[in-house]
Amino acid sequence: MKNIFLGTLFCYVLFGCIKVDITPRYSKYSIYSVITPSDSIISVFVAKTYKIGEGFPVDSGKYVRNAIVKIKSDKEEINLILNDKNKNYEAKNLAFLKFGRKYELSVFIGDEKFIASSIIPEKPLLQIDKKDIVSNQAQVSVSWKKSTSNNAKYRLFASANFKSNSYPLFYWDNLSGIWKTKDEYNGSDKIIAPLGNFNFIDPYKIAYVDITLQSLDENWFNFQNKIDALRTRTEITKLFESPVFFESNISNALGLFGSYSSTTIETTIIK
Amino acid sequence: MAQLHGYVKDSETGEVLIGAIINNKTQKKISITNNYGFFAINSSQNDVLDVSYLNYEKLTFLSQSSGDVKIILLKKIIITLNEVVVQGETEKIFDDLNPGKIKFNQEQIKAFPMLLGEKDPLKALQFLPGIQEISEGSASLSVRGGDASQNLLLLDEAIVYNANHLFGFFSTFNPDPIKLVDTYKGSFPAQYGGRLSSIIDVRMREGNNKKFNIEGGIGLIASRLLIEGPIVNEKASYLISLRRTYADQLLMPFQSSREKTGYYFGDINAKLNYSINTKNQIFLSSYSGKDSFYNRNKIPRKDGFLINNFDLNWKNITLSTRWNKIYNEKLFHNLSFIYTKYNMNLGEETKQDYLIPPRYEALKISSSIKDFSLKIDFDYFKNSLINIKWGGNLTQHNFSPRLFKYESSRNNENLENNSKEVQNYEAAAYINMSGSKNNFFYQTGLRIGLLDKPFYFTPEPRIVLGYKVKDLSVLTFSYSRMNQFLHLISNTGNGLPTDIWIPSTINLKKATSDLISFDYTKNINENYNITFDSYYKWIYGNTAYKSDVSFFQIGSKADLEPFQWENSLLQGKSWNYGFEFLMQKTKGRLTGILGYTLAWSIAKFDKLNNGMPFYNRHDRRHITELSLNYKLSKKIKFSTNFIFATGNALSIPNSIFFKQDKLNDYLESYAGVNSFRAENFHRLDIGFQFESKRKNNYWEFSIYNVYNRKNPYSYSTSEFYSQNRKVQTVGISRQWLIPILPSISYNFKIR
Repeated sequence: MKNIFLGTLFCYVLFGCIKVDITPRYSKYSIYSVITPSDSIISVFVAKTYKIGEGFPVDSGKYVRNAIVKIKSDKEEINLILNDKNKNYEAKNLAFLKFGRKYELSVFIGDEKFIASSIIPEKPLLQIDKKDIVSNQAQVSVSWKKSTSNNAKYRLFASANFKSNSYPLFYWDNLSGIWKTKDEYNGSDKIIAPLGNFNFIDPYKIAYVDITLQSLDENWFNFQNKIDALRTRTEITKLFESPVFFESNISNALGLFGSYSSTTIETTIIK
Repeated sequence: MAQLHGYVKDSETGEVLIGAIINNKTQKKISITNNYGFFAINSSQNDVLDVSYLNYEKLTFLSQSSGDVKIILLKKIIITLNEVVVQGETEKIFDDLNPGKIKFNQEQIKAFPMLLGEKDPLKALQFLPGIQEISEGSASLSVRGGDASQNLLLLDEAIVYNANHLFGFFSTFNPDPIKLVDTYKGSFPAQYGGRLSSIIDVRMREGNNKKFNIEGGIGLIASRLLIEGPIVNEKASYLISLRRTYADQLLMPFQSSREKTGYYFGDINAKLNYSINTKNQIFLSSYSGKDSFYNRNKIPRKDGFLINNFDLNWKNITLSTRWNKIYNEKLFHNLSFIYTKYNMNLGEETKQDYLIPPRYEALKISSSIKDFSLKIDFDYFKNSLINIKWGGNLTQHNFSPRLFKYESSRNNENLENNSKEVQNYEAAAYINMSGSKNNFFYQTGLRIGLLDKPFYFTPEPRIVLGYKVKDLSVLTFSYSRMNQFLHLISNTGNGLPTDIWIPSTINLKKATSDLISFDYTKNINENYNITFDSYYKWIYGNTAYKSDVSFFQIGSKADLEPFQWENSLLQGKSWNYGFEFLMQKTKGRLTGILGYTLAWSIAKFDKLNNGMPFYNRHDRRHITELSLNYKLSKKIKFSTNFIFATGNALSIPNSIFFKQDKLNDYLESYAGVNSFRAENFHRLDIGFQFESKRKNNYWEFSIYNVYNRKNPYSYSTSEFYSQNRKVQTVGISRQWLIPILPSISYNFKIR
């Protein structure tokens, strides 16, 4: 009986084993490109990846020189040529990039092919609902509506000028910074910009505010959020942080092929 | 047939003895005292009974069926110094009838050499198979693959939400006031619930109700003092225990007037108990512990000072009131009202009074969890075949995951942006039956868990079935289902004060575990016993931190946004299985335990690792622990711990890639989640106890990490350059934490 019992112990654990794939995954190349219809130049950066412990040139020379880079949408296709100045593969955007269209990126390096695709989100519909200067703050309420692209995510940007002085600090509904991430398809937000306590110039009477709403495809949205997470880390805090995993949407390569569209409204607020 | 019932107590202190065995030799029936020292057993007039408890003289008497509550007083064996060498008996730490249960008394806890000589029950548990420390030096535990948040830590029935001092290097459990630590890593009785992986039930001493007593210890980083005594002789007693570190006070004279930095932690345990009569007894026990880290700068300027103060503190408070009542010879109840609170406060303020106008800026962040609980438990001792426990509890949880306040004179700002506060009610009802007949024994129960927001109704069956084989061995099968309605947001699992408890919500589901285990225990002879366990634990709804969310955005401007705690976690499932072996030697000059664990801990989340399974961070394939105590002479005891564990699984980048052809504009890429194996962990600690001329007083000298092993604490990437600085390399560097650390302490008792 004891032997049967001990045999059962081993069997139930052995049959219950879960397979974990620990095969080292390593991509030799990385590709990085973000496109938007308002860009005059379409650019793609193609580079070698470096294993941990492998040396790489400090200044320049990390790019791949002999790649063939193409972007295709329906029947249109453009070839991108290496720009020796900034080491990007580039082509002029002569109305090639359009809202709502799907683009396929193909990169050939030797015998290897790397592909990815992205749909440029529709241009977001942004409007100002209310604007005012309350006590010492400029306040702008904005809202936006669903675009036709279901996968689109949003980020709000702002810049402001108060009289002749430019201050990058901006408060979005008490969130200080220059951007704010939104993933609602139909959303609204309030921008609150403190006018400061700078007594050496006249009290502010006019604020010039630029508000940009970006609509991003999901891959680019997720990638950007992770970049933002890294930005807040220090050498000390990163010891206690969860690692940031960048997921690639490019077959067999690291990196990203993403797209976005944007709408900017400039407004003036008079006290 | 009459029922003999009552309490078993220490004859010298009046403390109840938990787990004492009452054996009716005439009828061949056995009863064991419950957590309050109460027992009931069938007996007839003139039956021969004996009562035994380790290191106490066995008491044999003839049953007299008076029907009154019987107080059985056991006398502690007074061991002369010569006898100590010969006897040296220790209590068996596992329970034959419930192999998932581990029992440590205060003496056993104090036998382990520990970091800086600070004895710690949670660290003593780490030398047992199936239980491991989350990281070196940490009091946080991983039990059978579960994370630290899945352990229910109870101190006199009150939950301790953050049992860590000094960022996890010490636990909140000062061993002096502790009587017993019962730990369940499986075979959970139905009266326990609310966590997935373990129950650690710490019971405080009641206080000597016969005479005044002082004991304590003076160590390198902390000192302890315990005072106990009777209020009304043999009816009421008190106990107060204090512990405080003093590095801050010792360093104070050496700090400049411009900058002062300090850290301390302190604990107060207090208990009162009063026997109203033989059938009614009330208890009041309380714990309060605080950690405080501060940095104060006062820098002179031309017309004033630049003042900058930083404070981080965290506090646990528990309060338990209990009423024990014996209704009749078979029925006993305990009614408890429990309050517990954990809160963390972080603040920084800057004053510049030399400016015109003066400037002021202050940031305050806090988080807390607060519970009020009412709990009732009944014990019904029908006969040896049926012992029934039933009861229930109702808890009001109050969560404040993060409160935020920012004030600045610069823009006349006064911002308050608090995360959503949540109050919910958790309730449970249970029934548990246990008993034995011939060679078979059982423990079966059902616990029903309820949560109001969101609504959950969770039946949790529990069962233990056992068979005693003739050759003193026991075979056991057990199954337990557990549910957990709250989660811990933790970046590290190390028990940092920034870890936040949050409730289940509609989007963040409860977590559930199913555990089955097969166990085999054998008493080889009167000196040696072994246990061999195998288990499989499924966890559903376990959590992981999203990789792009951070609590460490403290002070950054993005922090002004309400903390979206509900969105910061992912939920998945986990498989944990393995084998455990434990051998214990309980008698002779040499006593100790040898443990070995072979285990796997695997998780799967849809949005991590491309949805593929990966090893949990605390997955270690092999762990071996050895802990020995040897009585070198009548005055000197030697103890040693050795632990070897294969490396745990970590996420370490395997390559980097660039977004553009520029300096340092690279990102790190990982082969997968936790796809890297850390180096093996091993460490040897030794300790000597020298008894001084005064009885019960001793010096302890111990060395932690004797051979100065640089055990991996964490790994991170670092950048290196060639000599001409034209070639750069990103490499992995290992951080290690605790070198060889000797310590000395003096422990005393005044009676």
